[in-house]
Amino acid sequence: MDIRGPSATPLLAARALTRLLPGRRGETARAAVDNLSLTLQPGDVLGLLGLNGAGKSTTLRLLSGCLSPHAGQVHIDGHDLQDEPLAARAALGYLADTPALYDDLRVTDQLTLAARLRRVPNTGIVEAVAVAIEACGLSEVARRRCGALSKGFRQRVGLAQAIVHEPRVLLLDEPSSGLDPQQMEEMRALVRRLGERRAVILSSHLLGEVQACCTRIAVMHRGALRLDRSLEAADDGGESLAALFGRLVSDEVPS
Amino acid sequence: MIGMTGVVLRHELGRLARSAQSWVVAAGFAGLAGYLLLSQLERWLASQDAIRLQDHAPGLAGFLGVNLLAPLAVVIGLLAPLYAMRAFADEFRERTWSLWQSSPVSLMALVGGKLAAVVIAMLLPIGIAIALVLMLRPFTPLDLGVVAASAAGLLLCAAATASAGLYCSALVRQPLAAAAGAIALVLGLWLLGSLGSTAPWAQALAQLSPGQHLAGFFQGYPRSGDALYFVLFTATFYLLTVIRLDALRHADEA
Repeated sequence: MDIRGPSATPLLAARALTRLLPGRRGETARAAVDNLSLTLQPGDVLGLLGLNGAGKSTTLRLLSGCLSPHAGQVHIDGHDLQDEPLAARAALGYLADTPALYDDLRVTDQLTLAARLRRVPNTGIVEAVAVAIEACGLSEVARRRCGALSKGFRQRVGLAQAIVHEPRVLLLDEPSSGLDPQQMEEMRALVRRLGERRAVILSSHLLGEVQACCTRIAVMHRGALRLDRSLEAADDGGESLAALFGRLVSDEVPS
Repeated sequence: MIGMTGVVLRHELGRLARSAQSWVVAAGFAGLAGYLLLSQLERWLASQDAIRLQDHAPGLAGFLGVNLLAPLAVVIGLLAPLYAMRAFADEFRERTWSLWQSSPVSLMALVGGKLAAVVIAMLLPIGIAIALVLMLRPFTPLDLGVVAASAAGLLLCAAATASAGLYCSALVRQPLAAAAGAIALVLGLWLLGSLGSTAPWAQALAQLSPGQHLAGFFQGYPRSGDALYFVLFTATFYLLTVIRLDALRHADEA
């Protein structure tokens, strides 16, 4: 495993994160996330790949503070997520697997609420919302209620909500889910652009998506991180990424 | 924290105002309160001869406090959970809870904002009840002290049962289940005051009943101990709600 060495101030640092699933009767608890460590610097766009049930969403929920780890620590922009949760979450944007939208709110109202919750100063809210709407291509639906939007637009409103306060760390759980091919390409371009100044983690089970917009690739299987290296290094190994992914998610012991 | 409480309060009040259920409940309450007022006024007029013979006969405000506002306090105690039932259960059901969990909002501010919103929404039925009594002022003298004490009693009762409603809302995903649980809890506590036993344990249990602590307000003689009971009731369920929501991060139920 090729984990980048720690620098002075990583934007996101997770150390030995572990989250157990309660065991069924007579069984011992299984780890949904097992001893996972990650470090992200500005400009890192990490594609978190894995099969369904590999632990990607649980990892993002642990990193976003929605779920507490049974062991390990998370630091966001230098703030411990357990000890300074509000400061850590202020630096974080999170798009959950299902965008957290109120069906009865208009898109602008939803983004205004998100901006207020994420501590955007009152004087800057209108501009922040306008920038997020522009960035996510929501101008044509800005006055529509979230409940009346297609799945693709809901996903984009969820992303706009995650970036409205210009967070330094962005966690995106399958952001292209439900998008058509053109929207998918736009989403990838947006993620690339967002990743220029931020640390981004994007979970997906599409290898092509990770290749299209990420600088790093991480592969999870059964809660454990089986690979974490730059996309270039992964490509240079002489083995295609698809073959590498297939080998890592097989149930054989990884090399 | 106060700033974020305000953000939550504003959002929650907007949700309550957009909900047809809030207005239907308030309208139903207005109809019931109007009917009760008319029937109690008839009783008041019919008993004038008997009242004139009493040494310390109650005024109209005192009469309506005991015979109109006290029964309406029970109704308000049962309505508050209906206003509070969606506060958290809907967030879990609609999958919007992650917005709050990943935002820099403390649970104290979140629960405080939602509780304040429900209490402010309850000002509508409370205002209707008090306005019905005050409406009589141009026609007859009213003891405004009794009316003010009754309003304070209704408000404290609403805050207490709203906090119980919020707690139940944080326990389940279905708002109706939350309302049913909270109403059962409030009714159960209320009935503790009607055990009818003189045993010490029954007397002690009766002190847990909100009804035992409301009578003074409607008679125009509120006691600080009674006000403290409602403050403690509200604070207890507020803290239980915070603890419950914090536990969700560990339990992964929401």
